Amino acid sequence: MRLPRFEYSEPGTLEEACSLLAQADTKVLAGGTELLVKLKQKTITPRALVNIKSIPHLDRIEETEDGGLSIGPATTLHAAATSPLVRDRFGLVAEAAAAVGKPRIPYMATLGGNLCLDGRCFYYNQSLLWKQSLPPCYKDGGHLCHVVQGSDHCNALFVADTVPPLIALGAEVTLTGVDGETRMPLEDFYTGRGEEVNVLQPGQVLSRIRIPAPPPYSTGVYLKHSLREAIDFAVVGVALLLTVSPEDGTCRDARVVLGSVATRPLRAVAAEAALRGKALDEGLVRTAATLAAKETHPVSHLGVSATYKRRVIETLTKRAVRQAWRQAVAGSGSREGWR
Amino acid sequence: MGGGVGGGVGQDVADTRKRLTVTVNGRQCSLMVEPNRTLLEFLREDLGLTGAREACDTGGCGACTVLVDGRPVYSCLVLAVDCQGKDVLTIEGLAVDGRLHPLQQAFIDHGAVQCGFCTPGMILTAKALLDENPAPTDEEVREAIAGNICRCTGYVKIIEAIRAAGGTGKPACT
Amino acid sequence: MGRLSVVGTSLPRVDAWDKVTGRAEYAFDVELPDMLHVKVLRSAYAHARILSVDTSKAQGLPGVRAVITGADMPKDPPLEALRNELYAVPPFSLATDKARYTGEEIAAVAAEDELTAEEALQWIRVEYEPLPAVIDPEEAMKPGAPQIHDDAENNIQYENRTEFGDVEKGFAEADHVFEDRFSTQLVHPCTLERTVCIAAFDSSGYLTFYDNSIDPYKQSRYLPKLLGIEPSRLRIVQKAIGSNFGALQGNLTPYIMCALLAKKAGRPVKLVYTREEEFINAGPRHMGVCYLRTGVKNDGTVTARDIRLITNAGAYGYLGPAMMTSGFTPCAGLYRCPNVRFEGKCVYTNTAVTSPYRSFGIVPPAFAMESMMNIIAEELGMDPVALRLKNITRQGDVTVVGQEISSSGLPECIEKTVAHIGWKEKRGRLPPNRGVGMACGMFDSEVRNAPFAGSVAYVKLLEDGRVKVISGEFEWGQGSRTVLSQIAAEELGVPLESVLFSELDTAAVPYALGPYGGGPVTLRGGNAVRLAAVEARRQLFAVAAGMLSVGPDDLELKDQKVVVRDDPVRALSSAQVAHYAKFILAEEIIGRGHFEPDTVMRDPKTYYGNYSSGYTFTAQTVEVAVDPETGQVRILDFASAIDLGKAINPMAADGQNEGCVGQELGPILLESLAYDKQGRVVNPNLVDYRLPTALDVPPITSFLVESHEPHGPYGAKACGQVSNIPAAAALAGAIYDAVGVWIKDQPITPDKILRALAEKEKREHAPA
Ligand SMILES: Cc1cc2nc3c(=O)[nH]c(=O)nc-3n(C[C@H](O)[C@H](O)[C@H](O)COP(=O)(O)OP(=O)(O)OC[C@H]3O[C@@H](n4cnc5c(N)ncnc54)[C@H](O)[C@@H]3O)c2cc1C
Ligand code: FES
Ligand code: FES
Repeated sequence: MRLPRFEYSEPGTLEEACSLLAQADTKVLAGGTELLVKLKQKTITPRALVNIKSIPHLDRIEETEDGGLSIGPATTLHAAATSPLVRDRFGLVAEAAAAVGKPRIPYMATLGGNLCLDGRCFYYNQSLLWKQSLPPCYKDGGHLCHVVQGSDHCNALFVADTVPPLIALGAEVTLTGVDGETRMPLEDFYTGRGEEVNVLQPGQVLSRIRIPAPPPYSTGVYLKHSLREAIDFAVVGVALLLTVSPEDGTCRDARVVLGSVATRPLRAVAAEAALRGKALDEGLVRTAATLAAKETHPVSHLGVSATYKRRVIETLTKRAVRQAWRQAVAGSGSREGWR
Repeated sequence: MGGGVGGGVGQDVADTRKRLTVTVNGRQCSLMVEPNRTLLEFLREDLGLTGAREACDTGGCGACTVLVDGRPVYSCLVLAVDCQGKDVLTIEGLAVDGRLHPLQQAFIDHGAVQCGFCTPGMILTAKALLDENPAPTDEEVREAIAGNICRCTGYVKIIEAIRAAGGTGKPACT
Repeated sequence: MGRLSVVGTSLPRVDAWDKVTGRAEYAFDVELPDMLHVKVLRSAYAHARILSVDTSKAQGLPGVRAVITGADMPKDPPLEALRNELYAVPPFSLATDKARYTGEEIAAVAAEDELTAEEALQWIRVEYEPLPAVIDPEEAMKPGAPQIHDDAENNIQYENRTEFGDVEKGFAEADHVFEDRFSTQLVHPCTLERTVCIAAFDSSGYLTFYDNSIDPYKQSRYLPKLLGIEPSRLRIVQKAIGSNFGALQGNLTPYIMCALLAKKAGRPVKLVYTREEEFINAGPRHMGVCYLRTGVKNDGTVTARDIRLITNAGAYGYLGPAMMTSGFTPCAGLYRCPNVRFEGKCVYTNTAVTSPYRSFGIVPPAFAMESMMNIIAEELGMDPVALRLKNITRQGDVTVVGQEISSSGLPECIEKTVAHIGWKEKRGRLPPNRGVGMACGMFDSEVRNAPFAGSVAYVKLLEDGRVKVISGEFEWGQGSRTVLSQIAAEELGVPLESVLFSELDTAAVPYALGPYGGGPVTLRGGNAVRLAAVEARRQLFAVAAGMLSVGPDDLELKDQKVVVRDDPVRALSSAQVAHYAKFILAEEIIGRGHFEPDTVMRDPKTYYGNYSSGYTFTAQTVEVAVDPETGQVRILDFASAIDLGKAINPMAADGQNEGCVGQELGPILLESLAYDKQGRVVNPNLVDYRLPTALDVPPITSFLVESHEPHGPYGAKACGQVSNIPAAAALAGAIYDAVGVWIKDQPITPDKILRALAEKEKREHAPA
């Protein structure tokens, strides 16, 4: 399949990029690993692409004054996964970055591209020819969903691996547009609507990702389960940030974020609440895991049944809490806290 | 429907080509290319380097793997114009003066080649691995080549060959 | 036979250098001057009447050079001449009045470049009247199911019933009767090189195709009839092939499309399938549902087997019936049970036309039969190994379906693999969630599927002492050219590097049957090449005898020299002799070898007959770990043994064994060509269709058992397509050993394992 024709530019500054992107039907090109597949299939045929990798310094990882990290969106996933800055204190992000289309995609794809990844669906992500006989679905501007008959919304699945860990860590993103900058928690970047997964407006670039310093006595885990050992999206991804009390080992705070289970990254709030303030024991771990499975409503999608997804959410949540708990006990969590 | 694909040669469009200067197999070349050309198409069609193979066309098999600045990438998902100033190595650039690279020799000696369609991508992936980790374990080899599908060998002899070239494998049987 | 020096040695492949340097040329790489690119408009519906096709807009598009539709198809195609032994006609036409699967060809465009051709498709207007579609073969047989072909009642393309012995009596003699249903899914061979067809007429109207199909000889036989071209004015040429495991076998449509477009445009054309087209059009392996009943005595003796098999032909039936027979007979032959009944139905469905994907048709029934053997062993409290050894067919047997077992190393195959895994220590004794399983298989080493089932080869001694093999046997990557070259090298006393192999050109090299994998080439082609080489040696000696004024019997071949045995100083190099023969005597040294196996075609009704001049056996033992919380199966060790008679090239044979296992793990655990209810393939790409990666395939230990097949060259028989036969049942057995559930429908997904575990738990905790 050939790529359709498009206009192409390599801006030297963010401002230039934004003004190019403000023009009709223009898309950001980062690593291209999602975008170019869609173009080849003619799922979308934008008029122009703006390659943001040409903008200097957009691929930098820096420590911030408050002990957090600031990561440029054009940072490759490989760079993020192997950077000591990320690995040492934000191991769950490194794990997730390395797991994206493992082992090859991380060399090509960017962190920003992963954050801006569109929802995936067996009906939407097909070639134009494949879709000939189908009435357009919500995501293609139509009025129905082929995955869930009768659904009043698009069910395209949110699958980006690095997002659950970043949300668990309370990451923020900066959006730069022609009218200036907006900062928001990453969690708010997502709309929950399959049709339009995030709040990016034409002319806007996701220009920075900030991760605050992890809270004292916290430890994080990202677990991904996929059907194949490589080149595969998650059936379920579970990120967990667990903060324990150094005095008695109870759980001070827990943030559980699930990927590949809904149209957006999902906080397992019931599971979080169950953990918060409690003394950790095996019974609690099980309770939290069961709650996480119960509070989600996955649909059978992309060859995986909803029941199976639930089982995996439960298992991964259980394992994530156990693992974080073990790490916490061993004192291998956030260095600040355990010093 | 119609007209959505965005034209081929027949269409009357302005020259949108960009000058691309890139080093391929140690030689610098400078060509005008369309932005919608992938690195794979550029190598195969503009430079006649057909050793990089196209199999899935969408980043799922590794047959098109080449090294860009030493890193293995799926050249079917990289724009040629995005390689400006970069250093590209294809399978044709691996043997020096007709002398095979140790990996190529190991693939021959260990029977790691059957239909051969995955072979260039496999060898280049293995090269990137050995450049970073000259004596990989079995598991490290599997991790590294897991982005390259081989339909013929069950990977057994490919892994053997890579480990042998890295000096950690068994000698070839005779 | 003296000591062998080339045969039996693990020499590197003859084409390896080209392949590791990227020089190897595949059909995919062939570019002809002035060539156009073809794109195909395929049915968007699984089942629909085609009311009209309007190509006028597409035709007017700049850059478009030719467009064809069903209206351009050959009128009055000679259907009778196209029928195969089982009365089926290969697909050859664009759809005209009706489309029967999503992906069926409706129109094709040749344009200056791919993008223009692709865009032109968007401008073709097709008016459809959608009809209800049916995907599942059992559904398709039900009354009221959509009728796919007018002449096929209940959508049954072919059915047959055959019985040997007295099955009812056999069941009456049994102490236990087991009954179960097993099934396998549609899967795709997914060769890395996609389907390519290039057609070019020269100025005199001579038509050349370049392709990478599995049977260029069959195509070159049928195409002239359809295209109205004299057979001598058409040829098919093959370059290196990016593997071929059976997809699109026999399908003539790509050739017809390309030939018609090339003719219309007056320029060469090239069609390369997209990966999506591979999935929706290029023959997947059929799905199979097998209802199986087996009677056994308390001591494990199998007394009766009743096999009911339903497979899907796809939208058109071509090889479906043949796959059914080929699947049944080796399954029947593997055990000594004298009472066997088989009832097979091959059913039309609104899916791509199914095609044999490695080991022609046997996977569905073999999975059922070997799984049931494991279930029986478990229920009788017997060791599955002991149950096998009690019942397996042995060397010297004539099986219930007439196979003459002239060699079998199956007992040794079993022994080797169970010893490797540590069966005795491990079975039933591993820690929780770990288990071992085993199974066996048998397959034809070649097959008489046509009146001519042999092979012809020429071996030429060139004037520089090199040897050229001229044979039509195919090289798809399995290493056949290396093996055949080794045989020629052996007989003519030259090193392997001195053997050249002819390019496959149907007009230039002898007809070959081909499409039966890595082994038949060895058995049939190997015999033919060997006979040809022996004849070339005879000629070499005859010419040398004249030159040296001795009798041919006084000569021997040593270090590429013809030497007078009793007076070794008198010697001529083979090159000298060949040079003399060619330029002085004007009689080149060319040996012709013709091999015709002593076999019969299976009776089309009863399936009885000794249709192969050798049968290959295999046994596999495997150890797994199952994660009971995610259902994930991890294979820890996989031992696979094949009895291949004699390994002409052990390294290549190991490669076939390992590759075959590694490939089949996909269908067993990961892969499924997923059709939705409307008959669309929803995963037509290599990300969503999950092929095994190096992290999914475990270490595989290959054992080669040499039983010496009297009909094979140097005792060799097939080895390329047997190791995928028992793998699924061996794994299912190991999973049972690990977690106590039998999974009877492939693929064995984590989801199914968890469901089975949940049901088991429910049963066990249910109040009695
Ligand atoms: C074989 C294969 C396997 C994959 N497996 C996984 C997986 O396991 N997990 C996973 O999460 N993903 C996976 N992906 C999807 C994709 O590769 C990754 O999500 C990747 O991180 C995308 O990043 P990119 O830089 O390549 O994005 P691109 O393709 O360049 O862009 C993706 C989208 O984001 C937009 N975009 C990119 N950067 C910005 C920015 N800074 N500001 C605004 N918009 C932007 C683009 O316009 C586009 O719409 C896989 C893809 C392939 C081909
Ligand atoms: S062809 Fe590029 S990854 Fe398959
Ligand atoms: S050798 Fe054929 S795909 Fe690897």
